[in-house]
Amino acid sequence: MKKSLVYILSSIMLIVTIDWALGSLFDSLYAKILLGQTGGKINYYLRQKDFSVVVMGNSRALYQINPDSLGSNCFNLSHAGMSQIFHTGLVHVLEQEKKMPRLILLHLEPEEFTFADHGTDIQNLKYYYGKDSLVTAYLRNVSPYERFKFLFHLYRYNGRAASILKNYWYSRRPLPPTNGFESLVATDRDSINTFYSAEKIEPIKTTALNEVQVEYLEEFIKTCSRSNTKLVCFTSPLFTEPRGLNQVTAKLTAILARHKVPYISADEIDVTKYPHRQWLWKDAHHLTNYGAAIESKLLADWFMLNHKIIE
Amino acid sequence: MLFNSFQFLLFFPVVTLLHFALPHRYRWGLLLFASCVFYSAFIPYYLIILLVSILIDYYAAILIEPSEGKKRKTYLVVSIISNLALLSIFKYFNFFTENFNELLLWLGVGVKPIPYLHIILPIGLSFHTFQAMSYTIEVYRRNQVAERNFGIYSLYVMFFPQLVAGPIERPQNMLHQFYEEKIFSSSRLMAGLQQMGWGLFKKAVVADQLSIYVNSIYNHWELNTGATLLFATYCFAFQIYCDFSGYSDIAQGSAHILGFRLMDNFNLPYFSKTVTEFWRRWHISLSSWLKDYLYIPLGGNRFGKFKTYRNLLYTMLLGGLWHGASWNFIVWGFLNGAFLSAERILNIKETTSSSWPVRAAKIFMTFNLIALTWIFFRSVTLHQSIGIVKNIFTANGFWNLRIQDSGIFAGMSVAVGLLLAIEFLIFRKQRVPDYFSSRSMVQSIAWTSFFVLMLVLLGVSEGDQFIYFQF
Repeated sequence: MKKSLVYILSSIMLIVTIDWALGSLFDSLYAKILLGQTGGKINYYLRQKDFSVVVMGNSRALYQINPDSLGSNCFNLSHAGMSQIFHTGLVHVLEQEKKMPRLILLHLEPEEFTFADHGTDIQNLKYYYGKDSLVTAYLRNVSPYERFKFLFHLYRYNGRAASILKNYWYSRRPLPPTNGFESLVATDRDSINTFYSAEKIEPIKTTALNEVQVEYLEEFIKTCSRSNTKLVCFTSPLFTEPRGLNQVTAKLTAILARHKVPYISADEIDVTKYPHRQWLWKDAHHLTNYGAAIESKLLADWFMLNHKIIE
Repeated sequence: MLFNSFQFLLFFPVVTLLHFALPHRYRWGLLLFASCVFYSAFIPYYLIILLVSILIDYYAAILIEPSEGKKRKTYLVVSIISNLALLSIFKYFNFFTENFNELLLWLGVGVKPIPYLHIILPIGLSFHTFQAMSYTIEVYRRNQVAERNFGIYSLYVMFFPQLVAGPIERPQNMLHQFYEEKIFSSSRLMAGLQQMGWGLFKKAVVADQLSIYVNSIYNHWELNTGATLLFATYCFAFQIYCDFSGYSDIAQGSAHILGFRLMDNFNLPYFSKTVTEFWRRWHISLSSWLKDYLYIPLGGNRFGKFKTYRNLLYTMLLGGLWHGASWNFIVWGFLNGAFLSAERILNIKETTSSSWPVRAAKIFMTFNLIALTWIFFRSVTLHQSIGIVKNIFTANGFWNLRIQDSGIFAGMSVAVGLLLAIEFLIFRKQRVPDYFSSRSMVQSIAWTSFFVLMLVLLGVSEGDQFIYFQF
């Protein structure tokens, strides 16, 4: 029994020590990374001079909106694969760091607002656990055991150790300035990919909005109002719209209207009206670099026409 | 209850403490109760199905034991049919219904289709059914006396470390262990915890990371070309190995702490030089079950070459069906049976004397043959499997390798690299339980800490449930 106790206590001591040492090492590495989705892009944004316009959203915002088309002091802070909870957490981090821009252009995925949310995307902001109150609260909601996992300092870097090391390596040398936009270069296979992915688009299962998802959006709006940041929401077009999406979009538009947030629907920036349609799509959800250029221009045109709304 | 859950992290120490605190005569009761709690964490009312199966086999064995001749056989047949009936209703009914309805449609018979059963498959049904069947068969063969204590027999079927995903134990190995008084041992605790850590590493660090990549490719297989699909298939080969052998390690390690010995279920299968050798190293408890209760009773290799090949095919087809009711699993079983037969026809053997490049080539060849079968195992439909095989063998755009998220790719590369290094350098020379049992205190502390920190840093915290639970 005594041997077991020695084994258990010594293991705990060793784990605590290494956790502290490695955790501190990752803290310092993380702070230095300036690229990649594991936090580098956020670090890069926080270190730059204040931007006046910031685009936020998922891959459809990241690969499709070139902020240069909106002006010279704009940045695309979108993260691929992330849902509303992540963007709400991130905007709260920006507020806390006093890095809120004058205007945020938030990409919304209406269908996503019908899904039950498990909050797992907030785990991509684990670094801010204990540093940002909203992110901490969201992380604690992921599961009843989440707070125990954070007893390990290293857990903040869970699942991203390899990419932090990789991104640290690339961040050692000075990086060329970026506006955060990444484009998807068109290839010969795109039309096949578009065809297959369009076939997989199914009708919306329910047109009822999920309350939790709506709360995340409302929290985002609240954060913007607290900082006097103007918010405009938009949705990029799809190659094929699923049945029922119009109803969901209408409900979402009503919520945004209630909060006096302008909304640019997919119809207003419909790239499919343009010629050379076959080169515009990477797949049924994403535009190629050609499509992205058109969408960015259409968005800029919308702002030219509606500058009074946002002033 | 999942081994990779917080509930188990609380459950297991409590059960272990109570197990050793209670007098020996109450321990089986505690373990049985704990096993019920463990199983109830999934779907509680499926305990009733387990109870029905236990009751049938318990009484069947008691009736088989003193009987002779036809009567003896009848009791065994009743027991086997009851077990197979349970499997058929829950696992195969909808598959046969679907195919029967389609056949009627194809023949143009205008009758109302047979309705499907809307039921969820009880977790681990195939595992505990096969374990229960091995008991009545062994009693019938007079290798095992019928167990009179209903509680002990129930525990044999329900012992929580191996209840939902094996190893599929034999009564000769397990039943007597429940009567032996277990004394707490620090060495067993250390070895067991290390093996559990190794199992969790394989599951949460390797398998769950690989699953993110594999799912993203297989769920959109039409969008991917040769190298990507081949690479995803290789990744799935490691995913399923780490998922399942990880479970077996946790099962073996936790049973070891409680004082029980479970059989080995895996022995570095991807180091095999032939498919025959692979099946001696992969899911050993199932392959030995199929050999003892199907292949040998069918005649094994005793009645000429043709019947040997036929028996191999039958055995592997049933092995495929054991995994699930779908044409994919049937093709998977058929391919494995065909490879085993082909190796016999071509007289391919796993000779150890050849040089290392030849051995490495054989290992690579075997891995590729097995990987080909995994395509059918992983795909959801036969259409998908055939589409993936076609895309892999299409030269156009073959080298267009998609790695998806570079962070996940980097993480899974580190994980598979560590796995192969540990297996090649350590476990190739010594069985996993033997290696951990022979570690010094300092080495045990180092290994335990290593596994915990790897789980914290690289483990997928919201990981999937074990793949083999569905069987």
